[in-house]
Amino acid sequence: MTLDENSILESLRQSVISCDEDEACRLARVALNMGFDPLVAIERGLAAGLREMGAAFDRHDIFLPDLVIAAETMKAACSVLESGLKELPSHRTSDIRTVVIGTVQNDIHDIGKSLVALMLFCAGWNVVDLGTDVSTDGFVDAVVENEATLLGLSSLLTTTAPEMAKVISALEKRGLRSKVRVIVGGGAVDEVYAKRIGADAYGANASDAVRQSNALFKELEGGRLRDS
Amino acid sequence: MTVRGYPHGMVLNPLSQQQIEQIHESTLEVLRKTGVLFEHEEALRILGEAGCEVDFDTRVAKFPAGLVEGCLRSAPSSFTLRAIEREYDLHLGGTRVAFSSGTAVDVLDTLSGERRPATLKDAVDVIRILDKLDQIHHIFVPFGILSDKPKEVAFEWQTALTFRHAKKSVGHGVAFPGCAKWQIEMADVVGAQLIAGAGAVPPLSYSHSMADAIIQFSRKKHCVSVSQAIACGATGPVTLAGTLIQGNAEILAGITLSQVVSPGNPNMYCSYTAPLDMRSGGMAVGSVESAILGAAVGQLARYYRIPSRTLFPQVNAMVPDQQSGIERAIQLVMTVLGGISIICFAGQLDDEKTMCYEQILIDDELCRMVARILEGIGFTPEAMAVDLIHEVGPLPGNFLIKRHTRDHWKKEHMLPTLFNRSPFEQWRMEGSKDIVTMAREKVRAMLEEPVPECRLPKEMNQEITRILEAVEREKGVID
Repeated sequence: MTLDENSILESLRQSVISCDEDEACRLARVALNMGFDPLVAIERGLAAGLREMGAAFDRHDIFLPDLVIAAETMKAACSVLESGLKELPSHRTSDIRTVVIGTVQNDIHDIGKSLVALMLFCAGWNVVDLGTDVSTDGFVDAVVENEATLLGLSSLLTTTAPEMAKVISALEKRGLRSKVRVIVGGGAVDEVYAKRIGADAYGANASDAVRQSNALFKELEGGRLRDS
Repeated sequence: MTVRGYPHGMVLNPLSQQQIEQIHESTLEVLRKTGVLFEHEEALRILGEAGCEVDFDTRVAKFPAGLVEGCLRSAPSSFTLRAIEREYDLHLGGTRVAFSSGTAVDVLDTLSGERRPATLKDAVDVIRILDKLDQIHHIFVPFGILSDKPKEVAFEWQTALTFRHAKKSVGHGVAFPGCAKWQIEMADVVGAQLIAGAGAVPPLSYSHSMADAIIQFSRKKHCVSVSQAIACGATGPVTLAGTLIQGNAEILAGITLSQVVSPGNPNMYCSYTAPLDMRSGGMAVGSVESAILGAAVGQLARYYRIPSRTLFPQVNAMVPDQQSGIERAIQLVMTVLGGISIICFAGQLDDEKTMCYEQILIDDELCRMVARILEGIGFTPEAMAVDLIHEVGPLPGNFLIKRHTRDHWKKEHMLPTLFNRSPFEQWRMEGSKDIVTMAREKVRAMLEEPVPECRLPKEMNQEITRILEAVEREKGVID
C-alpha cells in the first residue's frame, strides 16, 4: 500500500471519528477516483473509525448522539462508495449476501443490533433489519422472502434469550436450517449459550459479529462451489 | 482561576417585598428595644463605643437602627475566600451557589456499618474524599469531637488536617473557647483565609467564645459567618415569621459587631434553624419548615446583599435511607433556589451527629442534580429549536441523528455519575445494587488509594506541628 492510500484510509477513519459527513463523502469520492476497492475503503477506513467510536462508547468516553452521528457519517460515505460498486461489473455479482437481523420477541433493545446491522451494511451485506420485538414467524418468513444467507438474532435480556432457540427450531421445522446460517449476540448470551441452542456463531460485539458473519459467508460460498 | 460555584438561573422568593420590609423594621425594633446579650466585656465596650446603649450589669447591648444599617452597607456583597492553593480560592456571594460539607461527631463505618465515634483517621479520610469530589467547592471541618484526641483540641487538629490534606478552601467551627487564636495562627502560616462559623445562642445572646471569635477573626480579616440556630417554639417563636425576625436580629447583631471591629470585613448571613419536635423535644432538623426557612433566609440575605450560608440540609434520618434522601433533597432544592451562597451539608446524618461516607458521594450527585435545576431553561433561538422541529417533522423523524442533539445534550441534560439508569435486567446482572451499595463500592475504592502526603511544604508543616504542640500545652492536655 502506498503512502497515499494509507493517508486516505487514515483520513476516512478520522472523518468518521470527527463526524464530518461532508469530508467523509469527499474522501469517498477521492478514493473511488483513485481506484480504491470500496470494500477496503469501508473496512480499513470508515469502519475502523466507527469501531473506535464503538469502543469509546463502551468506555463512556462518548455518548449515544456521538455514536449515532458517526454511524450516519459512515452511512453517507458508504453510499458514495456503493455507487462505485455498481460501476465495477466484476464485483459481487454472484455473492448476493443478505442478512436478516432483529431483536427477539419481548425484547426492545435496539442499539447493539442496529450497530451490527449498520456495520454489516458497511461490510457489503444486504441488510434486512426487522427491528425489535420480532416474533419467531417474523424471522422465519423474512428469511424465506429475502432468500437470506444469514440470520442475526439479538437479545439483551436473559428472559428473552430462549426466544433464539425457538427461532432456530422453527427454521429446522420448515426445512430451512441448512440454507441459512445463524449468528446470535447481545448481553444475554455468550459463546457457550450460542453452541447449546445450535447457533453457527456468536458475535461478542459489533465488529466481532461482522467478522463472524463474513467467515460464515465464506464457508457457505465454499459449500455452494462444491455443490455446483 | 477561582472556584465560583453555580450561577442562579432560577430563584425562589417565598417572601413578598412588603413582608421583607416588615421583617427588617421589626428586627430593628427588637435590636433597639430589647437588644442582645454578650457574655463578653470587650464586645460590649466595642459596641458601646460604636453607639449602642450598653448595660454592663445585664450585659445587654441595644442597637440604634442607623448603626445596624450602616454595618449592613459596609459588609461586602461578594468576596473571594483565599485558599492555600490560589486556584482554589472560592468566590462567594453575588448570584452564585457553592456546595460544602457537613459536620458530625460519629461516623457510620463503611466496613462494619456500625456507628462509632470519629477518629483522626476518619477526619483525614473524609477530607480526602471531599477534596476529590467535583461538586464540593469548599470543605468544612468534619467532626466536632475526635475520640482519639482530647475534645479541647479537636478543632485545632482538624484545622491542621484540612490544611495538610485539602487543596480546597476550608471553613471551621469555633465551638470551644480559645480555639480562634490558634486557628488564626495556623491560617497565617499557610496563607489561607477561613470561614469562621460563629453563632448566636438563642434567644438573643452571644456566648463568650462566639463573641470572642467574631472579634478575633474579624480583626484578622477572616470571613465571619454569623448564624442563628433557633429551635422554633423553644429558643424562639414557634411561628416561622417570628423565627425569621428574631433570627435576623441575632445575625444582624453579630454582623454589626464584626463590621464595627473591622469595617468591610467579609461576613456571611447564616441559618441553622428548625422547629422543636413536640414529641421528643429534639430539633426537627429534617423538617420541611427548615426548607421554607432556608429559602427565606436566602432571600433576606439577598435583600441585605450579604453572602449567605446554611448548615442545612440536615436530616433526622439515622442511615442513608429514603428518609435521608427526601429530607435532604427537599431542603437542598429550597435553599438553593432561595439563593444561599454556600450550602454546608454533604455527608451528615442524624442532626449532624453522624458522618456517612456513602452519603457524601450521594450528596455529590445530589448537588449535580440541583445545580442543573439552578440553571433553569435556556431560551436562545438554538434552544427553542423551531427550525429543527420543522426539519425533522412527523414520524419517521428522529432527533437522535441530528447534530443539534449532539451539540446541546450535555449542556441541557445532566448525566448522573452514581445513580442507576440501567434497564432492569442489566441492573440485576450487575448485582441488583441499590444506591448506597454503589456509593459504598466507590468509597472503598477511594479509601484504598494511599493517603496523600501532606500538601504543605516541610517548613510550613513543621510550623503547624509546633502550633499544635503549643495548643496542647496551653490547654493542659500534654505536659
